This record gives sequence, structure tokens and C-alpha cells, in this order.
Amino acid sequence: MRKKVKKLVAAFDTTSQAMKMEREAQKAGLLGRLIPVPPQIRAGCGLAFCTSITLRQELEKLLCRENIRPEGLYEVFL
Amino acid sequence: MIYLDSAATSFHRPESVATAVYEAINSLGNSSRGAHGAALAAARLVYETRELVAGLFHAPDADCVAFCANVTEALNIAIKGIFSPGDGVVTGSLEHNSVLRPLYEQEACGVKLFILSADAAGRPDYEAMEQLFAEEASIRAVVSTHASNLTGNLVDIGRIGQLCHRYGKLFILDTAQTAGVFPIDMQKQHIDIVCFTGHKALLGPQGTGGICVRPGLRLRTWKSGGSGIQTFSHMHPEAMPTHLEAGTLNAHGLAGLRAGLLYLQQMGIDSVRSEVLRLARQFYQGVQDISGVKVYGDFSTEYRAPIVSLNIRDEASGSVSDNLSTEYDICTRPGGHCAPLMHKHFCTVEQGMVRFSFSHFNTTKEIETAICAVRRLAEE
Repeated sequence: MRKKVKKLVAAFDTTSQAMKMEREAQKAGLLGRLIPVPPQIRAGCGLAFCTSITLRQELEKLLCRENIRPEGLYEVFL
Repeated sequence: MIYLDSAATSFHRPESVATAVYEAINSLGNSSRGAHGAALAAARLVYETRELVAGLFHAPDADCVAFCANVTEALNIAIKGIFSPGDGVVTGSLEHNSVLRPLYEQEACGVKLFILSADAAGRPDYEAMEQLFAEEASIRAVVSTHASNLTGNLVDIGRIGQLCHRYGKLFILDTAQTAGVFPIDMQKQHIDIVCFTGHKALLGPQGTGGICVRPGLRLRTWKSGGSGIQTFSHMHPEAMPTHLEAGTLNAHGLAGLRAGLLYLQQMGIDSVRSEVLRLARQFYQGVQDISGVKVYGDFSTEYRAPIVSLNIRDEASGSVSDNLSTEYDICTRPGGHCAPLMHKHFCTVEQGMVRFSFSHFNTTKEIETAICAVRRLAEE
């Protein structure tokens, strides 16, 4: 297994919002990718956008600008 | 074969539609079920298709668009998800059974159903609708088709939307015969719910369709089950579009629908409409004066769905359609077309009508051949 490091994770209530996140992050050049929602956030299924904790500001700006509505932002070891 | 039954389903489609379905079935995983490459590829494709549909209908965003099997399913989701006993609902005699039957079921459950008559040419009565709004406080919504699937008469959805907006009523629109041909703008035309099918003028495969719901308007869950999210909740998720999409989506079909939508975007629906209405008008002008032929509907306007329905004297429509098929290899639709009230209106319950419906892929030559065939049958 990979060594765990702290990551910034945006979890979503719908796949549709997660796909929008991926699309807009790609357009804005914000590094990150979609992952299964980590159990530290929520048990069960779902998608989350995972990025570096150093990119919190950029991520928050993007969420606001593109009206993307995550269920929450979390810092978790992944 | 000359295919003139596009109001039932598209036959001619751009090659890209079949290619997209083929590629999807060989490459996609399950959208919303995991984050591996194949699952995400499906989720991306579904999302892109939502965006295209939202753009087509001017829905505020892609989350307004939930996919289902066809427009009948979409109308059932809307009609059975919104009314409660005591609510009033207005519809008209142009409607298809996909609207009427769910409404009759609602009526049996205590919803008040008001069905407006059409005028002699089969056009809706907007003034009667407004009068009903003013007189009947229980009315919650109008459910209307955008065009009669029998006559092709177009409904003025801008006018109905304005009326609904002014009187605070919901507007539920059936776009079975118009999506992909006529402009539809949920926001400007005050449409709360747009129901669409993918396999007609949107040129997608059968088994695709959906419902666009204005943000803030909640429908009762139509089905529940797998959602790919909130696994341990006893209830299906509330957020759209997941709220209306339990179970695996038809991503393979949606790949074809996406290709159809991209084709229309490239062609421009104005250009598609111009060509298909030219062909429909050519056919109408060719048959209207043939002795023994009776054409139904309002042809005083050019702005109508590309449908021409007719009868030859008192011949059964099934017999005429069968002759067209067996002797001329021309595909048309006879019978009742799931439009019982329009047939009662035109006194054609027994005879039915022969419906010719067109695609922009049809050719002038095909229309000429069809006119000749009708003329010969009328002379026999």
C-alpha cells in the first residue's frame, strides 16, 4: 500500500456534482482526481475530489466561482 | 423502403449514433458505481449528456436533468410525483395516452382533472384555460404536449407558460414530437418540468429519455434503490438528479443520445426544422387536393410539427397503411396513435388515420413517391 499523506478531499452528494468538479478542476488547471469517498468521511459509496492540502484556497475559489456544491471539505490521511 | 414514421421513432440516424453505442458497450463501466477508469468514463459520458440536454432546453444546470427510459416514463414520474388528492390539473384533447392515462389514474385517487376541448381544426383553447385558472382555485398545474402526435398541430407553449406564471400554476411539458426540432426554453417560457424522449428527433436509441425539473421543485421519489451514494440511508437520496435515478443508467444508450445531440448541435435545430418542415409542407401540398383524401389539422400555419395525417374516403386507415407498405414499401402509422380524444374530436375513432411523419433525412424524391402512392390509392 502507498504511504498515507494528508490530503484535501471534497465529498459530493451526487455523481453529477463530482463530475462537474472534475471538469472544472481540469479547465482551471487544479491538480487532483476523483476517488471513492473515504470511510473517514462517510461509509458506503460515492465520489470525492482529492487534491493537495496546499491547494485549499484555489479549490474553495473554484467551488464558489462555478457554483459547485460539495457536501463538505475534509483533510484526511489517504 | 421509404420511412415516413419518424413520429413513432427515428429510423435514419447519423452514423455517429450507432458508433457511439458500439464504443460505449465495449468500453464503459457503471456510472456512479466506483472510481476506476471504466466507471468514471461512464460517469463522464452521462454528465456530458446531461449538459447537452440542459443546454437544449435551457435548463439552469445539468443537475436538473434526470434520465429514464422514454417520455412516457418521464411523464409518469412528473404526474405521479407531484399531485395530491384535491389538486386540480388542466390538460387538453390533443394529449397522448402517456399524459391521459397517468392523469386518469390520478383522478381516481382524488385529483380534479379538467380536460379542455380543441377547436374545429384541433387547436387548443387558451382562453378557456385562462378562464379556468380564474375560476378554479384548486388548479395546481397544466400538463400539455408541445404538438399533437396525430395532427402535428403545435401548442403555443410560450403563451401557456406566461399564463401559468401569471396565475402561479406549474407547467409540465411533453416534448415527444418537438424536442430537437423546435426551440424550447424552460426559463424564458416558464416551464417547470420538461419531459423528453431520446429516440425521436433527438436521434438517440430507444430506451433513452428523461425529465428536466426546475430547481426547487421536488417530485416524490418514483423509485428507490441503488444510487451509488448514501448506502446506509434508508431513504433514496434527495438531491437531483440522483433522486429520480435509482438503478443503473442506460449509459450505452445515452452514449448514442449524446452523439445525436452533438449532431443536432452541429447542424443547428433551425436548419433541421427548416428542412423537415419543407418536406412535410411538400407532402401536404401534394395530397391536399387529391379527390377522396381528407387531411386533418391546422395547415394555415407553417409552424407545425412535421406530421400529416389523412384518410382516403372511408377506407380503414390500417388498410391504407398496409397497402402503402406492401405495394409501395412506404412506412406509415395507421390506427389510433394513442390519441383517443383527438380521434373522438375528428370522429375517426373507427377509421383511425394514416399518419405520415417526416425526418430531415427524407428526400424530395421520397415525398414525391409518397404523394404518387396516395394519389393512386385514392383513384383505385
